[in-house]
Amino acid sequence: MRQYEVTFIVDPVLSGDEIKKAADAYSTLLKDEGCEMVHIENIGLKQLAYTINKRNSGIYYTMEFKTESGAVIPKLELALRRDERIMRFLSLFLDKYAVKYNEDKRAGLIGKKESVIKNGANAKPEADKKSDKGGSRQPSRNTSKPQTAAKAEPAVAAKAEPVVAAATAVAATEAATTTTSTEGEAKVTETRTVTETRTVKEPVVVSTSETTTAEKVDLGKIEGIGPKTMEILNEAGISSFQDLASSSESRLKDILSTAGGAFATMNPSTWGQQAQLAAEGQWDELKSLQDKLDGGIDKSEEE
Amino acid sequence: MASRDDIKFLSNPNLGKSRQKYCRFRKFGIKHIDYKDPDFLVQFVNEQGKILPRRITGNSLKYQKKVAIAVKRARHLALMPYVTDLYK
Repeated sequence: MRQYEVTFIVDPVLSGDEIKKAADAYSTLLKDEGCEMVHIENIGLKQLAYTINKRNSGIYYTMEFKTESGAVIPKLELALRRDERIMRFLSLFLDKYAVKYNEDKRAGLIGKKESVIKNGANAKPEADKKSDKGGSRQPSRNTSKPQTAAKAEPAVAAKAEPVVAAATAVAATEAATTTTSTEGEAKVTETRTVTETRTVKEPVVVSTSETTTAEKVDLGKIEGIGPKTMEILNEAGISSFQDLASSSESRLKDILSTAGGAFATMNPSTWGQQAQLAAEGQWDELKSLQDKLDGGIDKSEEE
Repeated sequence: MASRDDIKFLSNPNLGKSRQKYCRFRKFGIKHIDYKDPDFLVQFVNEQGKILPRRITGNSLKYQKKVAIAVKRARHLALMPYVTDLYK
């Protein structure tokens, strides 16, 4: 079934009855042609952005309908064009995203920040349409993840924060309270993951970061590894200095080249060395090694 | 890239770096742009009502085209002006 939407502007100088009659004429026309009306809305009197037919305002109507074929559209447009009461019209075919958008809009899921936060699958229903449609919560998700990873907190707290922050914005305030108790955190993650269908990365990071509490995931301490590279490595299963130290250089190169783009050009030759020192907690030796290196590459070895 | 916690600087080394620009539609998973919403579309238009280039708005090409189409539809339906002054 093809779904269409037609918006038209009715002359405001007519009486209320005539306006209604004009709009109804088109809904009956569509129904007679065998269309299923999904939605008819009188948006009401609005100021026009520019004068049309010497008028400065108009009554806006939208109609959404379904048909099997599109043959009704030329008939509809011809009738709208001939009608002197109609100032402008626009008929559109709605693709699947448009259909979903309209449905969500009717259900009230698209609106200001106070609205109910539903599951994050589409990220659309959420909150503020004006500043960031359906995703005002997401900024907190993206920024808090690398920060919590870099903080070298105990694994418990680190687990609570990314998962909770990923789910909803309300969690931003809850995170402080839930980090204290593990039961609270377990409950929170349960309820959140039921509704949250889009977390692909978060669970992977969470599970691997639980390996060792001592050398917490701050692979960024290695010269040559930044937050993005760290993510790539985490996804591949390397989340602690031990893992990095035990991975062969060829494996690291493989991981980087599959990640593609800028990562493929990175040189992981000294990462294993640095990671070994970090795993053993020899920070002074690591620092002196990094002073010799330039961007993680041992210049004295390369000629 | 030696970022160590015990290295201290007198002034923030990140000073002067501008905010990373991103496409807000791709980032937040917004798939459809409604032409009937001039309040949202006004973000992508300058004070004269002209559509802003995507190097300013940060949109990806796909969504910049959708925005442009939505603005043009809104203009056709007199929800947004074609040309004006002091629009914002």
